[in-house]
Amino acid sequence: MKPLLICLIVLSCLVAQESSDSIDELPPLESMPVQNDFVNAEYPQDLQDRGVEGTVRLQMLVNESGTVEDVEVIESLHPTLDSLAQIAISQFTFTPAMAGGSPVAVYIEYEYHFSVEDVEVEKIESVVNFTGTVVEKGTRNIVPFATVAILFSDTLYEDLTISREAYLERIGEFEGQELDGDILTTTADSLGKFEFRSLPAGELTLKIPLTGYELYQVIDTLNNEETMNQDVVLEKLSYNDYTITSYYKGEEVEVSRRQLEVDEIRRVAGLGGDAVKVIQALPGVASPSFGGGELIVRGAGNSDSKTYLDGIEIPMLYHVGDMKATYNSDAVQAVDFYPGGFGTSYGDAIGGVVNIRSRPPKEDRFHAVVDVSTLDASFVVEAPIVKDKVSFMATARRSYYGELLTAVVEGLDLDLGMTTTPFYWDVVGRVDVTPNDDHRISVTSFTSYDSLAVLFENTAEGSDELGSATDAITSTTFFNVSGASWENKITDKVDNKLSLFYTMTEGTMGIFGYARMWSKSKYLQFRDNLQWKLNDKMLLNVGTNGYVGNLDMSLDILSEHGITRNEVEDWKYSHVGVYVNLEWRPNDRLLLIPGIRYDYYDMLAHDGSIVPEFWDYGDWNNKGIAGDPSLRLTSRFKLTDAQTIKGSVGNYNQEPAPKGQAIHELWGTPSLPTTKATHLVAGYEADITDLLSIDVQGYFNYQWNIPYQLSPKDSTTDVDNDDIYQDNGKGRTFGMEIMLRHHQSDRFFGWVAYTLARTERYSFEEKKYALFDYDQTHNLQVVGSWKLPRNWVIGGRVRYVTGSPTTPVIGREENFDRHNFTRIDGAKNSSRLDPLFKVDFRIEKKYILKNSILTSYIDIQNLLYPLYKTPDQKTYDDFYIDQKVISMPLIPTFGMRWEF
Amino acid sequence: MKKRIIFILLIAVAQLFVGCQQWERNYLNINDEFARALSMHFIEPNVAPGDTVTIRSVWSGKRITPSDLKWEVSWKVFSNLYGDETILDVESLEPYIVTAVHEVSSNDVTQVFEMEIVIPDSIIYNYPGIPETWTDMLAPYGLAINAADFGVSSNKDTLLMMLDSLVKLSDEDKAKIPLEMGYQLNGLCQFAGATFRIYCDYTAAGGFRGGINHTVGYQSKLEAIPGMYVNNRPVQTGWRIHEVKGDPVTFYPGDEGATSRVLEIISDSVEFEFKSDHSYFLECDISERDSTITSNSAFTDQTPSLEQFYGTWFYDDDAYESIGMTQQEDLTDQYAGRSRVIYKLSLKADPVKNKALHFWFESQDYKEATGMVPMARDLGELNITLL
Repeated sequence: MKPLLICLIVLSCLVAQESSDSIDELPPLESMPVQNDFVNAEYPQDLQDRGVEGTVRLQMLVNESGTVEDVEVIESLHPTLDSLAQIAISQFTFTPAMAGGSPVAVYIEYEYHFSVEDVEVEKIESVVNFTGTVVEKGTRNIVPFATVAILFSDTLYEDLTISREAYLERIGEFEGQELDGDILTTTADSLGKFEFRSLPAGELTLKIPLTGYELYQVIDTLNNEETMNQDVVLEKLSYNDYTITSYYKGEEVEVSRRQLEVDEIRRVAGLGGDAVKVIQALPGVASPSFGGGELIVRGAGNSDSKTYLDGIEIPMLYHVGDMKATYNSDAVQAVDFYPGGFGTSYGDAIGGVVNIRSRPPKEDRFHAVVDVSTLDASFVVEAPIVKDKVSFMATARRSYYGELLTAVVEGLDLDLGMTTTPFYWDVVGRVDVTPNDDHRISVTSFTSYDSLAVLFENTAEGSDELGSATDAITSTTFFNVSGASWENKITDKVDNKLSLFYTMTEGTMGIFGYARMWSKSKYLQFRDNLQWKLNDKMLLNVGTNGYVGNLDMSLDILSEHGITRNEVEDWKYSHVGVYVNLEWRPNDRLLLIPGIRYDYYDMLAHDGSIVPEFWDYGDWNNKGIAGDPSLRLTSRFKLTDAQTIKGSVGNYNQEPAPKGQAIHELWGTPSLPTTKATHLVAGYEADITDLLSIDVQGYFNYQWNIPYQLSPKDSTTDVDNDDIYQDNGKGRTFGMEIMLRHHQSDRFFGWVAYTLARTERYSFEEKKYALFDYDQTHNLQVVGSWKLPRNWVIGGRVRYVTGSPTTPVIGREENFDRHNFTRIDGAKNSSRLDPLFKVDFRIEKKYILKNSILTSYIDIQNLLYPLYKTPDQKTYDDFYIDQKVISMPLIPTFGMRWEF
Repeated sequence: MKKRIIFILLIAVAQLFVGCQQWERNYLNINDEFARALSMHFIEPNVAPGDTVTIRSVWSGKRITPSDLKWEVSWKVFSNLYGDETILDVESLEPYIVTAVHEVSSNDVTQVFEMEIVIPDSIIYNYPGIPETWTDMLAPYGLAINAADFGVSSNKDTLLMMLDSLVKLSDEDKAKIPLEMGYQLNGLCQFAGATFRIYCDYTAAGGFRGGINHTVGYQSKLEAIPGMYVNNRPVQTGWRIHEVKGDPVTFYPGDEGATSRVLEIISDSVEFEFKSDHSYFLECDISERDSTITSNSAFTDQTPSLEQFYGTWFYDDDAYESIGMTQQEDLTDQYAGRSRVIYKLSLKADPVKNKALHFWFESQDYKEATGMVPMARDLGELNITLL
């Protein structure tokens, strides 16, 4: 048995002087002796058993060297214990007392306690007997570094042989735990794991007070025999913080890039929870027609803007009907939108660029999401395969709103004269491999399919020999993008990312018995970007991207002389772009990014530019091969820490659109040049407060060499050639965009986006610029989302947009053979529809289950439809006399989402 | 909760179709608001350069007089591969009129006018729709033809001169041309033709300005050549109504077992009781169903095929509110040689009864992929009284 709990008490001290000097001459005592070690006195078991305990009071001399001499008992406890205490104390060593700068010998009194309980306390060993892990309720995310507390009952613990207080005091000394008053605490580690040692058997209360979470408190009973494991599930005060998806926002280097957090934008009303569709609520983007899904960026045509997934072009951004993006938002990390003025990393585009950044699979555990709404149903599963090395993700989605509508129409016995059956599905599979910190490989396969058929009753139009239904307009689009990306940290200063993707698209279209199209394209896309940090001020990017592929196509049109049938087999086409840009920071405030790019189009037959064109330089510059150079400069200058001015200038080019058709030897004009544009952007951005920021941009875009087909009116005027597509179309856009954004706070996020713009195309018929179809002078969007208590979220979006231009009907001409009228148009786009004014609303509620979260939501588009019908299209009666406006109706979407 | 969601969904769907109600005006509904041209067609549809042809126009709605009509023409109408039509050099039709427009018959609701015009001799030579190298026209249709194989030049004028020479042959000589070559010549005629457009402006009569395209070709001048088909006008020769038990979607005249009774329509009028448990099919006899050959087959498999019929109904106000007409599928296969079209009659809500409902029916023939083969039309009238 090992003693003892001993208490040293210095009752008094005297300086021991052997000289005859008087006390007055002694220097003052500067410090008392300090005990350096302690020796336990033997505590005989028989005395312990008899309950002999108490204090022996002794006096001893601590000499100049710190050793003990002359130990005498002043107050006796028991002869044996007195003696044993003397023996032990004689072995003590001290740092001697100091006086006058020198060690001196002093007498001190010492109390040596013999306590039976102290002996028992010393016997308590440190043994882990309570463990647990702190996780978040619903998400099962690990909650690291939480303080875990144990409260003990006042009266229980009858098994203890010593006092409750002494026991707690003892276990409070164990590693990793601390006694504060009557509460024993420990801290969970980075994985949320915690443990307690030597807890007494009996009832105890586990309590976790953590900011942002409901107070966790549970009473448990611990027994002696086994270690208790108690996983703790904390419920967040609010589950609308959206920490499920991480988001990285790097330092802004572009002039016009707009980034929004995925989980933030999924709550924007009217978007059906789709993160990619948020682009439609940003400045510079024209409000699309109902169901159209066009991407009209700063006045550029729909085919002028490119859409990418991690830098690899995807053929279609939105599913049929504009209901959802083709890439599932559950697999999206962020969406980068460049309305113009983008750098040399992107080519073959003269409008804007949308780059969806996909999300890597989660690596902590198995996750699943199931989302079922009135539009579609989808699921996501993801999990690690090899811890920290290999993980996978899979998503799938299928719509059924078309079938639902049809069922309702049939159920209500509505006679619409037509039925429509749109549907879509998409699948994403991804595997990420991270062999070490320097390499990351992701393999992705993304497939999308859309089908739309509008069947008209009692209709048989065109020829049934064409192979398409004579009573329907049909369209299908399928594509698959599969490949791999390899991110390689070559050195501390050099990073490289290589992507290789095989893409296959197949599309069909039938317009009654008049036209039938089928196309299948297979091509390899590549992108490589090498980033080299030259020094602290310069970052060099060198890269290439493009595609190599072939196309099979057939296009049959029932025309005057019968069926015009044309087939294209193995038409080869390719595009290669190479670029260099330098991110140069001459000082802390200025950033300059000069860049140059060259795009080569193997399938074009035109003579490309020699020097970069910022406007049409004329034929002298067209001496090159089938490609064009681009020169772009972006700059940002920090006026203060919170304010930046910025600007960019650059020229751009792209393959003539429609892709393949415009340069087809039969259906187009093979000699068409690239379509070109110049972007000028100037802007100012400021952080008004921590939560409020503003971005103002002005821009001017000019486009030329736009391919267009001659209209019959054009052909009777001043154009004198047989080319189906002309190459001298031109257009211009100028405007201003303001984005006032309130970033995510505890309760609110939102923004006000306003665009003032004018977009024009040159009319050869009228010999002047006329409004473009998508010119929208004012485009104001107000978006807000509020978090409410009890996991409710409401959001709204208000849109006001100037009505789209329309061409007025000024007359009509009857066709006696076809028994219909052809409208006679006035000046192109010389009138407008009434303004667009729409209000969308979204409300959602989360139900937090133990291991999952259930969310129900209602998303209502065009809430004010009963009060104001925004005109989306105009239709006319058979005589073009009476007109009617078609409006997007109120569209409610109900859904449930389960996240595991 | 479930019921509430369904209810909201139904409300939303109903909102969706708010814009689907009928227009007040419909092209097929004839009334006194406007003068209306029900049909404009050529009595002899096979028009050749230099021909004098009769144009018949049938009118209803507001009454008109010949002097209300202003006529124009373009002899240069052509389309590109996308079907976009170009119309050049619109001019007055006056220089080409042989017999001025005049009324030939009329009743209370219908007026029939006719006029004669002459087709310019040089119309095809001057036609911009044929390129100078005429074989260029063939490529888009998958016809890679070497002109020399036909003993002709690829030059447009040379081809036309060859066809002119053929025209001048006697019918006996024409008949000696082998059938295979006759088909090929038929195919050539489907390319070596011209489209013109006759305009009629009847706004002075409270109507509109309209036009009709027609083709000019050599077919009628080369009819004696074996394999050279011409297009005859589908003249309507009789009507009958079949009363059929139940609600079948289609009916064929051979289904006699299903027929309760056949109502012959005498003098364009018929009275009968619409029985709710029966269906009614209207049969229109048409004089002749022509054979023809398509542009492709003229040079490939050389298989003639039958043309198709379809038509357009016009209704007076009461008829428009009472009966709908739905054409059923073409009967070519089932009843080859018997020329007819069949429509299913559907009774609309609250039809007008005990009053003659007036209908007009324009029948038209059609065969796709036949190039410059003219379409032909006829128009008839019908009165149905529901008892």
